[in-house]
Amino acid sequence: MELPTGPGHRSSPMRPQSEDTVFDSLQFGEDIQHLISVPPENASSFTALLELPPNQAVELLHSPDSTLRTRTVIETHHQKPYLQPQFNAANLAFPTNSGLIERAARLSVFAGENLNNISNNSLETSSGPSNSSANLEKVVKSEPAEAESDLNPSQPLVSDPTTVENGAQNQRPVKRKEREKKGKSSTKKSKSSGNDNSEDAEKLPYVHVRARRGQATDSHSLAERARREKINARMKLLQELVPGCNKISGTALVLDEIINHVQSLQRQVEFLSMRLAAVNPRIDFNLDSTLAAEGGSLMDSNFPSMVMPLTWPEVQVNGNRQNYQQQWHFDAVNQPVWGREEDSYNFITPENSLLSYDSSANSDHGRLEDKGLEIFDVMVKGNNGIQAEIEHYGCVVDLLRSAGRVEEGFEFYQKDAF
Amino acid sequence: MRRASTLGPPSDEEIRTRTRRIRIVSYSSMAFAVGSSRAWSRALVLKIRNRARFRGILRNKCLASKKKRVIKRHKVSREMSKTDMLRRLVPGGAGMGICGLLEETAHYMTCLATQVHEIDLE
Repeated sequence: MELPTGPGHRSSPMRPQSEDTVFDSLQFGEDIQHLISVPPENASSFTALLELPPNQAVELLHSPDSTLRTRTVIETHHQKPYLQPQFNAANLAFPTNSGLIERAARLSVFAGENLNNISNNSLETSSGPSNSSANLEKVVKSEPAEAESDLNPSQPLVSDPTTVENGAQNQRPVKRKEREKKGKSSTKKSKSSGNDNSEDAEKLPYVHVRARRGQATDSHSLAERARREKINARMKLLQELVPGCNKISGTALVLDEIINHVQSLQRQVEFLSMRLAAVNPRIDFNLDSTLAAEGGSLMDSNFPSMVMPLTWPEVQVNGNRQNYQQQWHFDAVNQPVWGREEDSYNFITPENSLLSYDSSANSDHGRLEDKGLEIFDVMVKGNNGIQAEIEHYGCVVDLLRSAGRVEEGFEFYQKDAF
Repeated sequence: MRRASTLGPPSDEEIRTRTRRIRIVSYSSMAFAVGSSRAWSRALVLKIRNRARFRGILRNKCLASKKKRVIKRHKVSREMSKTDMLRRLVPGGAGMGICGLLEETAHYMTCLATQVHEIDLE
């Protein structure tokens, strides 16, 4: 993948990951721009700032092979000596996931276009990409000159602060928060610029955790804070799902509402199934065994929902007799539900199809045509508003014929048909 | 396989058994539709499958919350917290952390709402 050389490309010795370094130098310039522009204040949740839905954001967070790296943020104004590296080009990390690289490259192109448009109002100066290196040098000089205690021992210390690239293949995702030792931001601008960096994250696959003013910066606090942010994002999503939960503030009450809603939904399912059971034509079936048998085969093939009976006849009928019985039963369950709201013509279709399936699908009918007769009887006698049409009779006769009981079919026809 | 009983007003017992079965059908169809992509659907399928085989053996499966970071308190039985109740409601909730539990709850809620909408068509 050919990446354009970034504005802040350094001439320092490059690591073997050449394209990564080039790529990262491009991002690095944007970093500075984003730092020194004014970002939104209320970056309460960096996951919310991400354009991704929380699921993907969490996926990004939990990228297993540490494809996510965080980047340290330039602390422009802070004078406090750090125990952890505040900003160091050495700590810039690279996405190793090719998908992430592509995405970031694609997005960083757009971000790069904004480099010239961002108006900067910070102490550090201009916004041109050509000045990024100058900014970088100024910023880095304000940093304490002490070598950072590298948390990642595999990561080499960088002597040249302008070195963008670094062999920083941080293989431990938990370290990414330790990279971000922001410390207390002495000015609002630094804090807001840090938040802007989290907004930067929506363009690039980095997840930033910025320490706000007055908050601890050790690794545990950061991890906890990231976790809290995740949980809050999920809670917000749930709040939107549950009707009437938007006004409630406070996690406990929202949880109460969620629990009530889930309980009410389950009770609704129970109540509706009871209603179905009450008006169902009295067909008894053995569900438990059929479900157990069906579960194994269907789960593998990711069977579509069985609640849709109109698609049932199109369902592939395997020659398995057991499965066929199940289909019959389930359609019998679903029949009255659909039959009532459609006219009789539409209602005929599943019944006809099933009757025809009955005759064609199995060579050894055994008791199946008896079962078909039984179903027909129930259908006729049942009080669910179904009238026996000529198609039904035809199907029954055909069923009996294929079973070898032609005489019986003839009698049936003579007896009942009009 | 049982034969259809003779016609007559359905007794309460029959209605109850039928209710149970219809409910199992609806839940299993919901779980099958989702497939194995969510944890709750997998747990639901396993539960139904096991229930079909061993009725009653797994009925009183005690629910223990997965993460017990609480320090030993004086009272032995602690009141069921909200998260425990949520774990009990969502299938497969016992083996997840809070984060995963919330996500599964969201998905489960949407699927339940769809299920209710499908069943309640009259």
